[in-house]
Amino acid sequence: MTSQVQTLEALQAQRTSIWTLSKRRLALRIFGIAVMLIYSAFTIFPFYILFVRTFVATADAGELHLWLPKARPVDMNTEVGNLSVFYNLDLKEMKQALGIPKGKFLGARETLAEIAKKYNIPEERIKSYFEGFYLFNGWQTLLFGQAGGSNFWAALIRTILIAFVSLGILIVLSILTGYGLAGLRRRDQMYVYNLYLLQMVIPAMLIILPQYQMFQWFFKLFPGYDVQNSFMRHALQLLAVILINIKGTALSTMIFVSAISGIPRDLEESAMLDGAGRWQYIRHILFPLLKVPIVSLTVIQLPLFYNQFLEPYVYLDPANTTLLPFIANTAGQFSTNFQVIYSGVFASILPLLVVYLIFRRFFVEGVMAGAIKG
Amino acid sequence: MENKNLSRRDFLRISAMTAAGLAVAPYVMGSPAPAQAAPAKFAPKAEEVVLDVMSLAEYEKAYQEVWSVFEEENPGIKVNVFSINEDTAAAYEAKVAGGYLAAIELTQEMQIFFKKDNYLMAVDLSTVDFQWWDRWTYDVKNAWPKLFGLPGPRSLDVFQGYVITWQYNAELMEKAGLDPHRDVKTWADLEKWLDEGTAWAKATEGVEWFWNQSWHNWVFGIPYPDHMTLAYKDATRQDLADCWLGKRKFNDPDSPYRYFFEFWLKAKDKGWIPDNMPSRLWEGDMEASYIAGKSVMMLHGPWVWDKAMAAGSPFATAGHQEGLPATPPADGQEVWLQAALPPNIDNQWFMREGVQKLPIWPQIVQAWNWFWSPEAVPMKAQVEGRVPLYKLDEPFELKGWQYVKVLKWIGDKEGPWPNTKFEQGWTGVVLSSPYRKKGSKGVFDWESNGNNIYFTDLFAGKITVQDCLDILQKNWEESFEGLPDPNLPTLPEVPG
Repeated sequence: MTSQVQTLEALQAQRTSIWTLSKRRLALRIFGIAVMLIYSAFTIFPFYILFVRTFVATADAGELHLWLPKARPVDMNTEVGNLSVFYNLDLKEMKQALGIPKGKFLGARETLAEIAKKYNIPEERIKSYFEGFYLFNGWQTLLFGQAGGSNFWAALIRTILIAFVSLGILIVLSILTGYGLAGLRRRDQMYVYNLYLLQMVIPAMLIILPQYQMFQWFFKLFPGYDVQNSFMRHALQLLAVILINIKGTALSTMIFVSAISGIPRDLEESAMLDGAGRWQYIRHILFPLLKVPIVSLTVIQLPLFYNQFLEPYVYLDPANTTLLPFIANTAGQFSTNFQVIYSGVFASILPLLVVYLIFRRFFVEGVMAGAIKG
Repeated sequence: MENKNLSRRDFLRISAMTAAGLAVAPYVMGSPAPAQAAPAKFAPKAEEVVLDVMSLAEYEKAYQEVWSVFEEENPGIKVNVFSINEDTAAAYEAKVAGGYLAAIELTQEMQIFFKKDNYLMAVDLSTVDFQWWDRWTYDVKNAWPKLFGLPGPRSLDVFQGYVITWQYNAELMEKAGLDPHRDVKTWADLEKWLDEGTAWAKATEGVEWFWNQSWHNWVFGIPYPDHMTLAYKDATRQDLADCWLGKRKFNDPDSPYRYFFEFWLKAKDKGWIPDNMPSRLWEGDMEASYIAGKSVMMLHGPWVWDKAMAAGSPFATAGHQEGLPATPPADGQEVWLQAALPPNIDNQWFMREGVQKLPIWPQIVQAWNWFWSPEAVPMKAQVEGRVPLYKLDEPFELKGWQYVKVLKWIGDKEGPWPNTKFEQGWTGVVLSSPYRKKGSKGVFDWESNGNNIYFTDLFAGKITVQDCLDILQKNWEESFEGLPDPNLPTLPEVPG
């Protein structure tokens, strides 16, 4: 009887401890989720603030805004020059929209009220033209305005084009380089490999000028390069940036030499025995095995190409520019339209975010690659 | 069966040969003409010529509108207005070094000042067929050549130099119960005004500062030092210039620059300005708080009068911005002097050497002439809100806010400050510029923001006013040679 009671007590104690354990696990899980939520909120908060700031006019820029500020209508006493100076207002477009003849000069100090009177434009029409100006000026200027002869969308497309073409070609060339140097068994391979590594100590800023001049000499051999806004000129300029991006970098060489060296040589020999050529081996066997290093390189290089400033700024005409120089073009020295800057920064983050969300799984794999190899 | 496989050795060899081939191709295929002789932008095009013309970044759209008049009058010439800012200037210069050549450029963002070691980079404007030399109110054609003893000028500007004045939110000032137009007549009144305003702001919710002064290396290096001391009788522009020309020392016991540092230290000690002023942002802190109505006043140039208007600040759009000449007279000073920097004779608009060789040089000269014509000058003056030193054909009413509220009344016996007068003579900075060593830091060391370091130390109590003056003197000794010079050039006078 006593032993039965003891067994029962032991069972109950076990149940209690199991219950306590599951409760503890639950509490831990809730705590973990809470920590993650708070951490995520902290991470996302600056992006949220950035988004809100895209709607905050310079007049209210001195305050922290947690939500969109109340819009103010445009004041009819505002001088048109001031609007154009601080809000990148395109006067040509405004004249067209308000029916002001093309040849008429709008003096910088003319107020909207004076313009309404001079050209017999109802004030309501002017007010409606500027409706949303307070809140959406940044986005309107960014998405529909011009800076240096380019617009946002064209700059975005050029950025994406340069980033992805550069990345694609860099990967292919790096694989071939890695294949050529794999194993580093011979002296010539070591020389070439060290030459690639040498690039790590040469800052890009130092060589940008001679590099630029070299490209100029080369491109002037092509007919049409000297013609402003010609397809040839723009295409060659974009090509110049791509060529700079795809030249073998130390990082990509190291990644692929190391990855390909880790693949057993027997695999290549057995492919050869089965009648495969080198190109077939590279394409059908080597390439699929390099998924992880490819993703690793993408994770590192894609944001760098996408956020490139100096080379596009130097090599591309303002009318043929990419995102970052475009956004920089909208800033003045003594005055800044904060709305358009913040809108530009926010909008430039989005495409990269979309790419990351789509390929998240690969990126995680890439980052984790080698983590448990020791 | 023939083995067509490529060995790794072959693969490397082919790759190396291809790379070498690409590298030497431009040289083997013939060296094209030098970049400047055939600049990309100016390839002749029968139907239309495009001129790239630089503008101040903040005035780009307004200048575009000005140039549109030229385009209307000159069909066949299109003007592409572009701008750079201080962040993109270095990259622009790299581009220029690589062969890019714009038609008309502006020195401002590139911090170019034409002097003996760089003047050849710009076209000698005296050799250009230019019809407006006699329009300037001073001898603009010979000012720079006289100063440097070199052929020129190399650049042009048409405006009075920058003027710094007090500027305030009249609504808040009224709420504070202060009326500087009525009450501030002397330097002592000014200090009293700052005391009372500071006390009011500290006690008032929603107003963060009376005077939210922030840092700007150029402003603390050039305009402020040449403005602030003029309140004192023994710190005239000539006194200041004597320091620069080696006739007296920056660190003498009676140095005129002592007033400059003493004023800022006093402003900090009395709480008129933030303790951490040297680390505060000019635009992000000072201007933004003024525009937002969080601070009452500033000591500033012409820009923020407009900026507050454009930003839609209710007090500004309601016309409630007022101002005051910068330096009411201290004891012993008889006149209320308002400083203006001298006109820019060694910087601003220029044409880079090489443009004369372009096939479109005649169109560039045409545009250059139009840009300085009596037709264009008033348009530009309205854009920037600055006084043109130029004889116009028709009466001209400048509408810039700083001009309308303050500058217009300087020297006007019927105006609010009848005892005021402009001081816009040549400064020591200009007069000593031919003697400055290449690559030197200059007296105030503002180009590299070096002045921020000693201001920070001064505010932190690590150094004294005398130490600051010693730094100026040391910098001067390291930066200039050939001074004092008994044969100083005499520059043409700039009428008020």
